[in-house]
Amino acid sequence: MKLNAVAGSLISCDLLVEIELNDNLTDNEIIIESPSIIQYGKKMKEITYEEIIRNGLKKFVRIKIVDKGALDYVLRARLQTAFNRIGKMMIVGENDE
Amino acid sequence: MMNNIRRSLLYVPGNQPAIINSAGIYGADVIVFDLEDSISIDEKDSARSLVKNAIINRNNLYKSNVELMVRVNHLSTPFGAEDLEEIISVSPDSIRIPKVESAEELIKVHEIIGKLEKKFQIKTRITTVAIIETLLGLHNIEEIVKKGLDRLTGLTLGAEDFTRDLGTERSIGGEELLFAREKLVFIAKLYNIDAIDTVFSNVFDLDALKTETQFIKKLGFTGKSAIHPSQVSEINSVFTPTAAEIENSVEILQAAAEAKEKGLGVIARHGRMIDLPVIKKSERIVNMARKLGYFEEEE
Repeated sequence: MKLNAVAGSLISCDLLVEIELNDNLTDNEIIIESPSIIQYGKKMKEITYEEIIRNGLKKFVRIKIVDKGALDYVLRARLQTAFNRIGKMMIVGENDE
Repeated sequence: MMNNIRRSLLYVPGNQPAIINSAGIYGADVIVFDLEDSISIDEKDSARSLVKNAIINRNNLYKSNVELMVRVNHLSTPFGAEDLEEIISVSPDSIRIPKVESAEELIKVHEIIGKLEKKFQIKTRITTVAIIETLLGLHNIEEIVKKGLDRLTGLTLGAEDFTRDLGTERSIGGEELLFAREKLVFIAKLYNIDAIDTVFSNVFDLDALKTETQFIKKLGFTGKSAIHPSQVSEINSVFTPTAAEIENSVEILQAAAEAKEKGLGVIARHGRMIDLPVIKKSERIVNMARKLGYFEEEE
């Protein structure tokens, strides 16, 4: 199974999150593009891992974040939205089977 | 700590981080995060999540005296119930309920809020403001307020939808809204809740905004909604007592206190009798000035 969900935008102070859920992944992968990667990259990764854990998905995901100067709460919000969208796709997928 | 003043209520689209980040710097008494009309159907979920996280992060984004209100979607839509569930979980100060047309409708929303407060162990009581935006809502307005007073702290008019329902259009003079505004103010004042006026749509015409705000203040409104940050200071300036008004009110209250001490029944000041309505008005002005921090240095 492979599912993709996107949330956010490339407008200033926002970010675009893309989550790929893929049965072939053997670990979580996080890719961050940000103008402030040196200052905040570590923090952004921490938040992303927290949201992965909070979401409780039992599969590995690849997450790509393109940051346009978003604050922490925006990152959390966009990750939560993308995870919820993936979750809804999984429910639809199960119902279809 | 919120100061419970609602002179200006600034609408902020719930899905725009840049605007949410800066919403606190314009001096609005209330920030109204919008999940309804300004959000496309495809983005309802992301706006809800963004507003939720902004409220969680309120201490980093806004001053403590700013009220955070959320306009949710109507319960009859696929989004209303989920808006309430998600937003109540983070304890906003208040909820703005769109298109309230009957007491039953408002009671239903209040019951849901009550259950969610218990579920999420919310310690403060979340209040509501009802938007009257149809003829039916205006027709039932007293019943709505009477039965919703357990949480309802304000009424506001949704002029765009209301004029559409009325089969007319908004004009600069606002004649088409006069009856609705007067009825709304009358009921709000009768039940001692806030009367909040509708938005002024032309964001470029600040002079006309000021004229309209002065007009609706005369009608008895206690505040006005804003759709652009530039409108906030104009609205605040109309609803904020001037230094002379505050000084005069303080003197009246002092004179009233002295007279009471001396056992005098009638007080005159500068040749004008000071009776109970004048004292009440002075109390209101001094009370607002205190909440706005005018007396901080003295205290």
